[in-house]
Amino acid sequence: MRKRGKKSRPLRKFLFFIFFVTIFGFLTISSIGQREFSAPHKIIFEILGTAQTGVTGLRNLGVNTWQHYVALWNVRTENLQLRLEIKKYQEMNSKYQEALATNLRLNSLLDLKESLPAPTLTAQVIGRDPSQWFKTLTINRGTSSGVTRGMPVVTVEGVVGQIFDGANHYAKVIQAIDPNSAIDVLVQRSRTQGILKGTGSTYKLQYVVKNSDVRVGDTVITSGLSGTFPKAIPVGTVSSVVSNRRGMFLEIDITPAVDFNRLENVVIVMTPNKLAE
Amino acid sequence: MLTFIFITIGALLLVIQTSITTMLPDWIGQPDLIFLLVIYLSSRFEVYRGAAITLLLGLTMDIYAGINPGLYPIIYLGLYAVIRLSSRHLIVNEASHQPPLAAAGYLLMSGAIYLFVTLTIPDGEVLWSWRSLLLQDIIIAVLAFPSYQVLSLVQTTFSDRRKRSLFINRSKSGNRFIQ
Repeated sequence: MRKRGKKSRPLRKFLFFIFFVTIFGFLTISSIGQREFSAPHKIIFEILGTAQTGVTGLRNLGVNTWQHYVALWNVRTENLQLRLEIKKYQEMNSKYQEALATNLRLNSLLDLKESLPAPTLTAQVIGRDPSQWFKTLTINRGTSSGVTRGMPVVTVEGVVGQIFDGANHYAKVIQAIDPNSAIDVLVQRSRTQGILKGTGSTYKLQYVVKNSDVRVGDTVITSGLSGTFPKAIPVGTVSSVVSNRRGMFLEIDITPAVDFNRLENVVIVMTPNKLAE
Repeated sequence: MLTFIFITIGALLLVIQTSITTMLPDWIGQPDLIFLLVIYLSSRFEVYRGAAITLLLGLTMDIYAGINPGLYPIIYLGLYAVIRLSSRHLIVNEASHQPPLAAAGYLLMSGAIYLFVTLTIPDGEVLWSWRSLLLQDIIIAVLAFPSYQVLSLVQTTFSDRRKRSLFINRSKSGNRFIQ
């Protein structure tokens, strides 16, 4: 009896392995090209997302404690400097308040619908892409909060990216600097239209013909044409414009408005993306 | 037990890699800890068990890295197979061979990911920078030796414990008729 048991152990192992490989093989092959998470993906995402939330919390606690300690070193000088800055910003703020009030009033007269803000949802960034080939983020909001594929993700500074997919409580965001991201944009000053592609750390503005009026320092905003991003969200600033002899398009580099390395909280614009569904 | 321990280690490394190491500045680079674990599994684990853990790690990486589900299980299992096959002809399961093995493996994996994404996925693109790739390769080569030692220690510790428990069980269930 024992001998048979010993012999059958490798066989059982082998059968278990075959079973395991078949299941995973099936899952893997079935998920290729679909660009959607399967059920096991979602389950693992939920489990690891919880762990990530804890680790991110601990990390933030450590960083905050350290920063508060370091801040005490030059607190007096910094205090004086900050007081001066506050005065300056108070003056600027009153000017902006006036401009904002005028702007809002005119906007509401021109287009009442556009002045109404879309429903939004804040989320915390709890993880980043562990590979060096892609640029994605993990946030602590998922389908249970109404987050769906394709929803735009922004911050106060500008565009962050789009929701790629999610589980119940977590979602994955493809950043605008990822090479797989493409956004329809406008140069604010000249209204020149182009397609914004990510390069990993910056953007490239593509399909802008050579006779277009684009200058270094121009602000680039979302065009709102694709229906994904709301109109006029800042994207970045033109950092270089090159017109090569060959080809019909300009080579334009854009510096992102958002510092992607320092993202902590983001805002999801809760407008369903019909193109992504 | 050992399988569970290594799956837990993999999950922990992934959480660290997505939450902690991403804080490091770009010029230092971000070590690919999961890759080091896959290299270790390829060169030191039993074939089936190692393959099973590697597949699970690939599935988990799919969630956090990139936007092409299914990419990592294939790439990791391919890497696993290549290292397994090469270890039949070369002695690569020694600690001193880990740095060159890891560095070569990382270059191989990078090329495989690039080819896989650009050839099989419509409009699929991958960030490719020789500078960051070589930096990452150096980091991996440097970390390969200590990570091998630590993982080896974990494996030895838990393997011994398992053997001991089996031995105890066997001695207890010696003569069933006396009971």
